[in-house]
This record gives sequence, C-alpha cells and structure tokens, in this order.
Amino acid sequence: MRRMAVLTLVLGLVTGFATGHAVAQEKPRYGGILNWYDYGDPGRLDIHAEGPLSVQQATAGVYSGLLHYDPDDPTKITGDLAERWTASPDGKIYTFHLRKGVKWHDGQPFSAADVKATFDRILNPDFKSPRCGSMLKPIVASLEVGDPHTVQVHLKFPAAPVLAYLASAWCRVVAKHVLEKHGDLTKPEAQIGTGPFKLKRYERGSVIEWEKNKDYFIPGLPYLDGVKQFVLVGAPTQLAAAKAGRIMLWDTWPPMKKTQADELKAARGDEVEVYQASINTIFLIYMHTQKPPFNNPDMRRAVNLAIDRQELVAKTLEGAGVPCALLDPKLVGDFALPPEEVNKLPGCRQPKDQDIAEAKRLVEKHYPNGVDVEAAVRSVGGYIDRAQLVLSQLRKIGIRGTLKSYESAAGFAVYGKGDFTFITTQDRAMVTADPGDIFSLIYTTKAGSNWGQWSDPKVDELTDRGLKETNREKRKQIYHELQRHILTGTPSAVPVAWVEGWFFKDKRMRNYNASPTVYDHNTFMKVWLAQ
Amino acid sequence: MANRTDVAVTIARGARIGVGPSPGLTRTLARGLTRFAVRQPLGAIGGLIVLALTVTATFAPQLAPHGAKDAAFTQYLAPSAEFPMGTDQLGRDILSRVIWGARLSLYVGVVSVAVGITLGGLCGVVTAYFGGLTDSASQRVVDVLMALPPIVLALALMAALGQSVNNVIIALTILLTPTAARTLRSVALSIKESPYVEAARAAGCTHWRVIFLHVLPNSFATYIVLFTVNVGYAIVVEAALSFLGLGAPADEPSWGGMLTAGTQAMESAPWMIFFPGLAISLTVFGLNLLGDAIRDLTDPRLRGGLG
Amino acid sequence: MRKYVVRRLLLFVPTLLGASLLIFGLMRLVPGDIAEILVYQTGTESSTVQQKQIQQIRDELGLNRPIAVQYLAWLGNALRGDFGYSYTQRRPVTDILKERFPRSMELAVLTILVAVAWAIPLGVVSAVRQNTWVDYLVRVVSISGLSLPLFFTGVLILYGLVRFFRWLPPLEFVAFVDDPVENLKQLIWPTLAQAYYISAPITRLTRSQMLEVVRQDYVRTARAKGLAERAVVYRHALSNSLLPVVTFIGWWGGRILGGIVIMEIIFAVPGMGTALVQAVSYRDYPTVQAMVFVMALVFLTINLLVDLLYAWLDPRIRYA
Repeated sequence: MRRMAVLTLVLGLVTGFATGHAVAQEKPRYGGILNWYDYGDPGRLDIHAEGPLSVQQATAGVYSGLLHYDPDDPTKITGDLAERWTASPDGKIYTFHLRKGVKWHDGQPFSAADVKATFDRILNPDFKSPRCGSMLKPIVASLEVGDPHTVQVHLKFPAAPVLAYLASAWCRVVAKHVLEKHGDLTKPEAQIGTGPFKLKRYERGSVIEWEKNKDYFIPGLPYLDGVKQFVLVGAPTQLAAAKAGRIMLWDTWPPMKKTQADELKAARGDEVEVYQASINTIFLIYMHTQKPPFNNPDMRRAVNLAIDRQELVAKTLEGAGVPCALLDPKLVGDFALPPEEVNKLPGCRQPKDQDIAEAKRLVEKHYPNGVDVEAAVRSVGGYIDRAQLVLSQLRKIGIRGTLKSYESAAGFAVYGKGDFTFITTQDRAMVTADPGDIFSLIYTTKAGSNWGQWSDPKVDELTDRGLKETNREKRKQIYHELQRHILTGTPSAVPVAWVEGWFFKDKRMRNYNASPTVYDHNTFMKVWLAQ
Repeated sequence: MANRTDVAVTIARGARIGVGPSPGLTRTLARGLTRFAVRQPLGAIGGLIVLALTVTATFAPQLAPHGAKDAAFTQYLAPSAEFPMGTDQLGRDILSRVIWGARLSLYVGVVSVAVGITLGGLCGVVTAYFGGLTDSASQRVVDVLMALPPIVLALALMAALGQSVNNVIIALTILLTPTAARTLRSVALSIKESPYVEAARAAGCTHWRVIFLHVLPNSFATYIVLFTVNVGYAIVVEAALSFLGLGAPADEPSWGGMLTAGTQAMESAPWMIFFPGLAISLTVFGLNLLGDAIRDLTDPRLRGGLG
Repeated sequence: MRKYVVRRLLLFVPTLLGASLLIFGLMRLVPGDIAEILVYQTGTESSTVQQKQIQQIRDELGLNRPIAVQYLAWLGNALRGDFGYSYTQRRPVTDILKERFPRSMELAVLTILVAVAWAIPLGVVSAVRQNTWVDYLVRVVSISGLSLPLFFTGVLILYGLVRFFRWLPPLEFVAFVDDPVENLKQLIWPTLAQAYYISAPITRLTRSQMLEVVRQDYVRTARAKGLAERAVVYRHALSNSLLPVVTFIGWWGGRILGGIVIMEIIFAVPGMGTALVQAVSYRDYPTVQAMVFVMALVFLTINLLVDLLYAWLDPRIRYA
C-alpha cells in the first residue's frame, strides 16, 4: 500500500515536472500583428486631458508611467520608468530613481525634466484632467527634480493609494519638448512616448496602428511587430469581426453577453478561449435625495429592500456579476466585507418575502395609493433591459415608474445637473484597484458622481481617514466600517452588483493577463503570438 | 374597368331597381372589389395584408395572450406551443409584442402620415393655386426642410423632444410634410391649368370653391397613394431611429426596437429577429402593393396596356 | 437660360441661410451642451470643480455669448470658409470635411450608379410587360427592397458573409485612389444594400413614365413607320420617360449623404454620416453646422444640375 502511494507520488512529480518544464520552455516568438478594436473613435488623443476608455486604448502602448501594473502579474505594481523608489519615514516624500538610457520615440533622451513637465501639467489647477488630475491633485503637493535621474513626489499628507495612482494607465509620462512644441497632445504627431510601441497611423474613425519600438528600454521587448485597432462602433459589426477572426481579442467596453459568447464559441470554438472576467465596474441605482419621493429616507430604504439584486444579475447580466457587494472581494481582497456577511443583510438576503413586505409597508405609510416616478435611463444596449426589470421589481411595492430614456452622451449632462428623480441603472468604472476609489467617486458629499446629492458626514469622515491611513490593518477596519454604514443606511446610490462579462482571446495569444481595471492590461508589452 | 363613375352608376341603378340600398350596395361593393382584385391581384394581396394589420391592431387586447411588457417568463425560449414566437432577452412573449406592435406601428404610421400629408398637402395645394409670393415663400421653406438630411433632422428632433411614442410621431410628421407639400403642389399645378377648372372659374366659382370642389378631389388619388406608401416609410424610419438609440422607448413593443434587440442574438435566438422582421416587411410590402395598385387604377395615363 | 441659372443660384442663398438657421436653433433646443457632457461624463472631479470647469469650457468655446451673436459669428466665418474648430476633436472642421466628404460621396455615387443600372431596366421591362407575371415579379422584388429597414439588410449581409463564408469585408477604410480593389471590397456591400432599398421608387417611376409615354403620338408614329418594337421602346420612349426619373434621382441623390449613416456604422466606413451623428450626440455645434451646410449645398447643386440637364435633354422645356 505504502509502496503504491510512494510510486504514485513519484510518478506524479515526474509528470508534473516534465509538463511544467515543457510549458515553461515555450519560448516567446517574435513577430505578428495583434488585431483588436476600439468601441469608439478617440477623437482627441490627449491621455491627460481626456476621460473615455477609447482614448486610453488608443494610446496605451505608446507611453510609459513612473510605475505600472506588472504585465506578467497585473495585481502587482512595479517600476516602469522608475527602477526603484523609496519613501520617507513620514510617508510624505517618495523618491523615484529613473532608468538611464531611455529614449523618446523621436530619439531625444528621457530625463527627470520630462517627469517634472508631465506633473506640472497635470497638477496645474487650470488644466482639466478628469482622470489622473482628479486622482493626484488632492494628494500631491508638487514634484521636484533631484538630479537628471531622480524625482521626488511631495505629498500633502501620507496617502495610502499614492503608488496605485502613479501606476495608473492615465498618469503616463510625456515629453517636455513635445509639450513645448505642440502645446497639447491632441494631434497624432504629438504622440511621442517611451513605450513599447510607436503610433504608426491614426486614420480617424477607421483604424489606429502601433508599430514596434525597436529602441524600447527593455531589450528584447516587445515581441509583437505591431498592434492594430479597428474603430468599430456598431455592435453587430463588432461581433461579426470576432466571429470572422478579424479581431483577436475582446478587451473593451462593453463585454460580450452570454449569447454572443456562445455564438462565438460555436463559430470559432477551438481557435479562441472565451472567459468571464470582472471589469471593476459597479451597477448602481440612483435616487435623488433632494426631491420627492426619495428625499424621504424611508422611501430610499424601501427601494433598497425591494431590489432583487440576484434576479438582476441572473437575468440582465446572465449570471456574470457579484450581487450586493459594495466592494468586490475579487478586486480588493480582504478590504471587502466577507460575502457571507453582505448576503445576509436586508435587501440582499434571499428569499425576499420579508424585505418586500417591509418595503411595501414603508411605501404605503407615505403613499397609500402608491407613487408615480419618472425613471431615467441612458439609451445604451444592456441598460434598457436592466431598467425594465428594475421597474417591474419596484412595481411590486407600489412604486410605478415610467421609463424616460436619454441619449448616451447627453444623458450624463442630465444626471450631473440633477435633472432626474430616479436613475434605473448606471455603471461606474473604477480607475484603480484601491478600495477608497468608489467612495470618493460616488459616496462623499462632493463626489463627482454623487448625482443624487447625498450628504452624510460620517461617510466623508471615514473616506478621508481611509485615504490618509497608511497602516493596512487599520485601513481595512475603516473600509469595513464604511461599507457597513452605507449598506445598512439609506444612501442615494444603491449598489446592485459588480459587473462581469464575457471576453475572448485568440488561443495564439500568450502572456496576456487581465488586470483588475479595464485600463491596465492593454499595452501588450509582453504579449506574443504563438504559431 | 372599375372607376368611380361605374360604381356610382351601379349604385344608382341598384337603388332605382328597388332592391333596397343595403343589399344592392353590398352586392355592388362586392362586385367592385372583385373587379379590383381581378384587375390588380397584387393590390388585392396588399389590401388583404393591410386589412389583417388593421384587424390585429384594433383587436390587440383580445388577440395578444400576454401584455407587451410582461417579463415574467424564461428568457430566450425557442418557439413552442406555449410561446408560438418564443421569448426575448427579458422573457417577454414575442407573439404578444408583435401583436401589440401592430397597434403601435399603425398608430405611429397613420397619425404621423395623416397629419404630415394633410398639412403638407393642403399647404402645397393652396399655395400652388394662389401662386405668387406665398407660393415662392412656402417653396423656400419646403426647400430648407428638404435640404436637411432626414436622419439628422429626425435625430435632432428626437433629442430635443425626448424619447416617447408621441414625439416619434411629431418627428416623423415633420419629416413627411415637405415631401407631401411638394408632390401635391405639382399635382395641383397641373389641375389648375386643366380645362374644367378654367370653365369653373369662368362660370364664376370662387377660388375656394374651385379648390374644394375640383382641385382637392382630383388630388385625392395622389393623396391615397402617398398615404399608403408613407405609412410603410414611417415604420421603417422608426426602426432606423431605434437602431441609432433614438426611437420609441425600448420597453414599448415597437417592431423596430425588437429588431434592434434581436441583432444581438441572431444565431442563438433567431426568432427574436425573424418574427418582427417578418411583421415589418409584410406590412410595408402590403402597403406598397396597395398603393401601387391604387396608383395604377386612378392615374388616367396608365389605363390599358401597350398592345 | 442664363437668367434662370442665376436666379436659381441666388435662391441658394435664402435656402442655405434658412437651413443653417434651422439646424442652429434645433441644436440649441436639444438639451445639454459639450461642456456639461465632457465634464459629467467622466464624473470624477468634485462637484465644485465640475461647475468651474463647465464655465471654463463654455468661455473657451464662446458658448456664453448671446445666441444671436454666436450665430452671426459663425455665419461671418463660414462665408470666409472658416467653419471653426470641432469641440470634440479640437481641429478645424474643414479638415474633418475634407477627410469625410469624399468617402460619403463615393458611397453615394456608387449607390446611385448601381441602383440606376438595376432599377431602370427593371422598370422598362415591367412597363413593356404590364400586368403580366413579369410585371408582378418585378414589382414584388423591388418593393421587397423597401420593406426591410436598411440596418436590418446590412446586418443580414454581414451575418450571412460571416456565417456562410467566414469572411468579412475590410474593416479599415482604404481610399479608392490608393487601392481600388480593397476600397470596393469594403464599399460594395453597403452599396448593394442601399441600392436595393432605393431601387423601388426608381423602378416604379420608370414604369409609370414609360406607360404614359408609349401612348403618345410620336411613339405611335414611330411604330407606324415600321421600326422594330424594341427600337421604338428603347429609343423613343425611354429617353423621354427618363427625364422625371432623372429629376427624382437627383432629388434623392442629394439627400443620400445624410441617410448613409446606418450603412457607414455597420460597414465601418468613416464617412460624414457617422461624424454627423456623433457630432449631434456630443453637441459639437461647429461640426454639425458645417456638415449640414455642405449637405444642403450638395442637395441644391445636384437639383440645379438635374434641372439644367432636364432642360437640355427636352427641347420642349423652356425656362423663362
């Protein structure tokens, strides 16, 4: 008996070692062009000044940052232009030692002066930078140059997410001489970076092409000869391109629906790998706290209790989502409340009979004959379906919603101005994987996406403390308290689910690793194509 | 050849024979219709389709097994005994939505076309008849409206008005008015020059009498043809608007909206696109066939054959 | 004749003014402006910063000036050929026009050529064989083109190509002058779909015109002279019945530039349609104004050319 066990163990080890060795031995192959698509025409290619994913996608491989998410393991932050860095004991000064011998795509040498020019631009109070600027301006006081290969970031206070922010795909370093020559980064000619790819061609509305940067500062990289993104705006065209093999991956917004993923599998089964992944985006329902009926906290609680998150995930996200959570454990680890706790909370627990009865009671108390509400939604693919299901759920407790749809772009103006009573569904994507993001984006009084104009001093206080707390354990406690406070309270934005979706990649693609956010794995620096 | 005079004479004869107005009328109507069917078989088919559409639309509440917005069923069900046209991505019965959609399409099509063509047509006829400055001015207005690309006009209107079924009607009406004005104006111009109008004026009829007794009735055939053809056009334009995200709100059972939603699942749930597509194409097809046939019948230049 | 042309050209002015004023007013009625959209779309800055940024953008773009001033300023510049800067692309609108206009024109011209080549012979055949099964078949086939929404036909074509041939047309645009084959490989499909759609009115008009013309005296005379029936039909009847058809094609062709947007979206052609729809969506006023202006100008020009052609072809027409 024992001999058998030992024999099996040895055989297992030998086989495992052999296969593992064989896989590890698969050498990266040079060459090939990666084809994929951008869901919208970027228009203006200024990574610091623009906000949409379409712009970030178009320029990702062209630039480098001080730090970035490791392409081999995108949950880790590693140095990009910075070789190493140190933090001062009080946590307010970070010193970054920059690589030497790095050249811009036009041949000019890279130095600390470029980093300074970049940060001066982003931190300038008159410069509109909705992504990097809104992250860095609250925490960074200035950036100083030490010697030509050292920079120091001076923080206003010791801020926990500073490295995550600096590693963000939006905080890329641009050239001082380019800024001086062109003024801004709008034009394709101004896209001079230090990244693994150069911008070869931008045919507006049609295609964006990158070509290999032969002088990239990591010798041997990149493996690909180039990357090509077709600009495909229509949904049927995107799926047709996938089925016909014209694009090699789906890594953009929105993700595929399950029916489309199934169709793709049927069309190209053995050539592609279809997988489900999170996009660090949360599906929210908003209520305006300054207008009836939702200025009444009882009514907000009623909605919170009545919404069947699990049904919404099952029917409108086709099961690809994490219901109820305010922070997703898959994305932020133990900063999130444990699912067992979250799923038992009122509003989340199944079966919902008790919660629906309570919700009905709350509504009847204030509106014995029920209440009619105008429910806003933007005319974007999946949103309309979600909206209809949300409204049918609310009908059960006496809230009768009439759907009012807005155009995709102009709808944001309506939300921002507060010209709504109820938003049936709106997703918000997180820019970094830091747990504090969602609170400063949506839940604090002055948050940019606090469209319902909710104000809770405790939330503001906890969010601020979480930003400044550097001890991880203490930080975790703060965010746990914050989650509990919001989930058991009457917020204006009800978290329904973290959204996941289906994606695919061509089986020939190697070393393509998904990162927690949608922005951090599209440089293709270390991706290669097998035969 | 069935024309208005024939039918009128037959009715008068029937009445004189004393069979009584009702059975005589029915029989002559039946005879008139049969003659139409024989003469214009395609038009008869078109007429039957339009009739079926109208019946479906009128009796939608009785015919549809479920409500148009009931999302209580399993999603993406293939056609079966319980759901003859299957269910869609939210679990709604497609048969019910197609039936309710008939009512919506007919409502949108008929109202927008009726208002648009009547308004435009009246304008065109009246200004053509009176000529002069009013005619030139109104022609400039029509020019301006026609020079704007229709899709852009429709998009901007929908964005400005907001998405609702009634606003779709308003947008479509504004799209259709200038073309109707132009077409009916040219018809009115040719009638204005005709001998019997000259005779009427010589006999002392006022302008308005001439318009209402001579010009309008003779434009009627064009009006009917424009009407049938443009109802089909309105339905198709609404579908295009919903593809661009600016049609009727997507929970409404608009055939165009259903078609757009169906393009997301063409292989996995082809019934989602097949049945609304069939409904739209049959309807527009039938309307156009009917319009063509009426045009053939009433246009005096087209009677008889080449042989 | 010259007086007629001059008069028509002069009439361009009020029409273009009216059209530009109409679209200007309509775009201002549409809720939201570029400043709000840009700032609220990302929604990351704090609310106080957002308000400040919105005002800043509006000042930069001159959106805080009185409406009349904005229109007159635009008009003044437009008359000098300066259509301003696109709010979303931050580059001159004339550059965008120069890029996109030829592509849409190419698609429009191809569509009309194919539609006419297909629809007119069908109309003739249908008229010659009136009320026979040939006539019915032609009418059924051409009306079926009208009966399906254009986007649906386009999606069906795309789907069919992928499903049955595992092939898609090229997804990136190549200009005809650079590589005609690649260019046509992409454009032939939206052309076919759109031509099928518009062929019905052309067939119908050709047919009714032919039917009218063949009853006229000169045709009877031609037949009495003993020429073969075919020659009668094609030489005498057709050339005279074509005139209203040409007018119709001109009218329709002038408007096609805006209507192509759906085909452009589905077949990934970066033309004026997509740019215009996006501009409306983002309230990019300069781009919308310029594109509508150009489209209106094209419409009026084509109509004028067609009317002149009409007069030249038919000596009986006289323009006072």
